[in-house]
Amino acid sequence: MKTENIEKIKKASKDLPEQWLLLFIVNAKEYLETNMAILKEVKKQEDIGGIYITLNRPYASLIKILEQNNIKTDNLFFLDCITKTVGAEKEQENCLFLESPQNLTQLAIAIDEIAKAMPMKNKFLFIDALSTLLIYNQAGTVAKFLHFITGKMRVLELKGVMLSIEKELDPKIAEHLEQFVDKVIDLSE
Amino acid sequence: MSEEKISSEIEKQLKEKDIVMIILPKVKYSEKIIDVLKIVAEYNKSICYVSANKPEKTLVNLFDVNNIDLKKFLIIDCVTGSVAKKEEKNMATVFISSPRNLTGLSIAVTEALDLGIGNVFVDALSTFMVYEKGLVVIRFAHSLISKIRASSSKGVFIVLKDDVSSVLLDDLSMFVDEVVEI
Amino acid sequence: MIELKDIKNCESILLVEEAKSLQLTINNVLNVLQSKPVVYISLIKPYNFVLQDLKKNKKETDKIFFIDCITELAGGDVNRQENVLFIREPTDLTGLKIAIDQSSESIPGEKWVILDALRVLTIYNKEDTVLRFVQSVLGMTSSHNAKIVVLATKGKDESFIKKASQFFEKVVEGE
Repeated sequence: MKTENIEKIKKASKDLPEQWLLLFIVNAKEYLETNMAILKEVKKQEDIGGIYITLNRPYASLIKILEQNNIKTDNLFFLDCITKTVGAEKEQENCLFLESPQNLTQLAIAIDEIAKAMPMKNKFLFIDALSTLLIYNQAGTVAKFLHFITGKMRVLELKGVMLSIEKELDPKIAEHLEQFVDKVIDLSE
Repeated sequence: MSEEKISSEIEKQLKEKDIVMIILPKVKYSEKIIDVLKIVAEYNKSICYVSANKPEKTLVNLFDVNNIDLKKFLIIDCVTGSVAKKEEKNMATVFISSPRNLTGLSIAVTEALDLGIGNVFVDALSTFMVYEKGLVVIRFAHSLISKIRASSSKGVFIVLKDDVSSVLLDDLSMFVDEVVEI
Repeated sequence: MIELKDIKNCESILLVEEAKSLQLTINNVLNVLQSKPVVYISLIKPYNFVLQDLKKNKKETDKIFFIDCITELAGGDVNRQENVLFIREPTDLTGLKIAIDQSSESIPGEKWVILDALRVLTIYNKEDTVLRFVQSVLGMTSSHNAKIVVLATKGKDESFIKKASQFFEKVVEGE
């Protein structure tokens, strides 16, 4: 990963309110590496807990990747939108398996419940792929969901990180989303 | 990149990563697919070959000519256009009615994974996009990859560069562990 | 950046700006209005976040009355507050109109209505419905001697903004 991108990630929340919402536009080819770098940076904060919404990889696969990248999962709770679609869910202490990436209502409820149940004051929500939401839902539905969820994050006092692949986000979603977040960081160049 | 470096890179990624997408230009497809197959055959005891480009008969000949051990392969033939099970020189061949029948294909691959297949080789994901909308195929790919992961197997997805928009390629890139572009 | 020096002389202004400059534009609008009473319609963030941003930028907030269209939708605390009215959700344009009507009527003298994100309404309502809403609100604010500033973000599809523009006395577009 380019040094300048690493610097951009480190400085992402600088000069922003305490409960920031960030949108990262990432290069598809470096998606995984960038994802890990951003997550690592967010987790550096003291006593922070997080909700990781995985839309691309099943929980079991994601955990392995986190381990390989030396990212501890103690204070992480996972919302897995994929495993149940292939009927492979096995009960996990720190993971809730949701029906599918199309069931945004269920996802919203889960975020609400988990966030309220987390004891730490400093919390974040990490959505690993907005672009994937668009694969499973119409643009209008996703726009509503994003408006709702960014409002929800603020109400629940969650810091927010959302990743999107360059070129992928429907322009109509992109222009709305840019309003909802505090900063857009383009790592795609 | 030189030919040697390309092969070495493919070999490295196929050994180390669970799900690999290999993007081939059309002009190099025929020669490169064999190179990739040889590597996959070397490192896996059992391979499910999903063929959207070549019928079973052609594949069998190709394997023969290139000294690839057919016995390791379960072929899912989406080209020949009939549904039947046959016992031939290979483990088995399953016929899917058409590349549009993604449900049938998904069931067939799931059954193969349940049998303990070590690697699912899809040749070529981009061909399915000729028959179905891009998004439908992306969802199918996402589901298939998830099943492969859940079975602790590996997967190789061949994509022909000129057949897929960059936007769809970007989607696919999110789901795999590594993208190798030749 | 938008030049705002003339907005005080206009009855209704549409400000079209890049999303990343929206907050800055809002701050600048408030600068120009110089502590006149404001009815602030918040469609993006819960009102307390808007308040925080304004205080951080050293803006006077005593004379700002909020109409918050997001907190209830997001499940936040909507207990009665002195300086805020909560609208159930952005689909409730009737409720929003009533709130604008009542709040602007109840403030004596010169006052301003600021709507911070016109395009958000199009996520929840058909474009034509939003356009009718805009036209209706402009008529309403005029009848209460209130001036109105509506902010909209620039987008690839400009047809909606073009249609909305016709209702405003002035349209100012950022570079």
